[in-house]
Amino acid sequence: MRDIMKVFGMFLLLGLWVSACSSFPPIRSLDTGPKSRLAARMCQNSFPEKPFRAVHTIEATMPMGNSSSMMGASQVNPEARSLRAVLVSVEGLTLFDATSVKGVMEVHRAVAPFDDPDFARGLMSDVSLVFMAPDGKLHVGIGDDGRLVCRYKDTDGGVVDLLPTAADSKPRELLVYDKDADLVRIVDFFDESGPMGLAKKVVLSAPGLVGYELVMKLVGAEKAAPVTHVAK
Amino acid sequence: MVWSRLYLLVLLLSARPVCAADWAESFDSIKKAASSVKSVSADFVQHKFLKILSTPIESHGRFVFRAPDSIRWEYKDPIKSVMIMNHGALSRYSFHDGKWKKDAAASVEALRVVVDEIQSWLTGNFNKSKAFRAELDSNLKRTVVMEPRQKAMAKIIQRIVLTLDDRPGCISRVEIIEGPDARTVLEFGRVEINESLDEKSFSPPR
Repeated sequence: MRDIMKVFGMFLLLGLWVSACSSFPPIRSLDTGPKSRLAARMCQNSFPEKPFRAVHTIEATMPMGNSSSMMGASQVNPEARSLRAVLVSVEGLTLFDATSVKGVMEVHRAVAPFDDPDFARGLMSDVSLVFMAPDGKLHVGIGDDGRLVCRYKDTDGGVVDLLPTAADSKPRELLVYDKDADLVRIVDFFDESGPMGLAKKVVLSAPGLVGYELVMKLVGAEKAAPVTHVAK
Repeated sequence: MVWSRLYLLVLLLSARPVCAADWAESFDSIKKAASSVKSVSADFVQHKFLKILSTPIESHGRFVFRAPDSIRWEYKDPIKSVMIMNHGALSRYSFHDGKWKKDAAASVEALRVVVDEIQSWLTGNFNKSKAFRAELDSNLKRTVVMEPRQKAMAKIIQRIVLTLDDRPGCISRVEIIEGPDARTVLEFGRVEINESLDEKSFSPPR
């Protein structure tokens, strides 16, 4: 028992040390000239600008290898940073329905086990990542691997690195780091030839012990009127 | 002429009992008709209507029931998924990365109430539901309207409308109204009654 505690203690210390030493991946700044502006526009254009709605199939792989399939319907107004996300079971039961306007969330419906407030916040944050350009101060640079990086700094001290589709056909990727520079989300966008310029497949991973993976496949998308619902 | 009128009257009167003997005229007659159904299998089309969508989400699949308590509820597209209730035990499998995987128990349990209801409908026990109060619609023929008994359930499902088929013991349409923003319609076709079923229908998919 004592040995187990020692090993556990070592892992804990190692974890704290790694965490304390973490820093955001370095990027070499681009000057503020036309090249930088062009790169910034390229990053911004990676996301739809007009309001749209979309339907996806979702395969969720949860901790311990548990998995589940469902449908997702979304209505997004990128300009107003508002979105409504609905999760539907394969059998047609609405499991979760919420609106988020500029980060202010209102849950319209949540059936157990989808009624946990942390789940709701996490889900809406994930949906925002997939459909809307990151929020925050933009800084454009080149990563260690020579790839263009658009770095958005949020007010909490975290960053979102957007790596546009590379010439070597690497997919567009989003890497989200928290304020301790821990990588908390990876989003890969595959085959961005869907309606409204949406990716036909998106893989979102949350690394870690309680991590999960969502594989979203586009069923359909179309232009939409702006979301009129305003969160309280 | 008088004879012909009289004949017509007799004909109409004699026809009345045929109409009155409709299998779905009362819950007792529905239960009686359902007791003769040992198995049902049917294709279905499901439309999920959401306020935020201009067109519903369409899904297709096949439904198999074996009395009294075995169900196979299979979706073929856009998601491949099978829900199986075998003698009351409920499980669901999804097709991921080329193979079938068992779904997390928690997400399946959210649907138990729906599956339990379906089982009671197919055995003709509409008015024995603990969750819903059933009434035969007085205006619409062969229509059963179910409303939740408790407020907690009403927050999830406001009303279920079942349209019974011409054939005794069969349901042709199910509409589940969750609220003003969402409803689901299931329509059944290619219905086969009391055909022999493969035992594998209620086994995990491979």
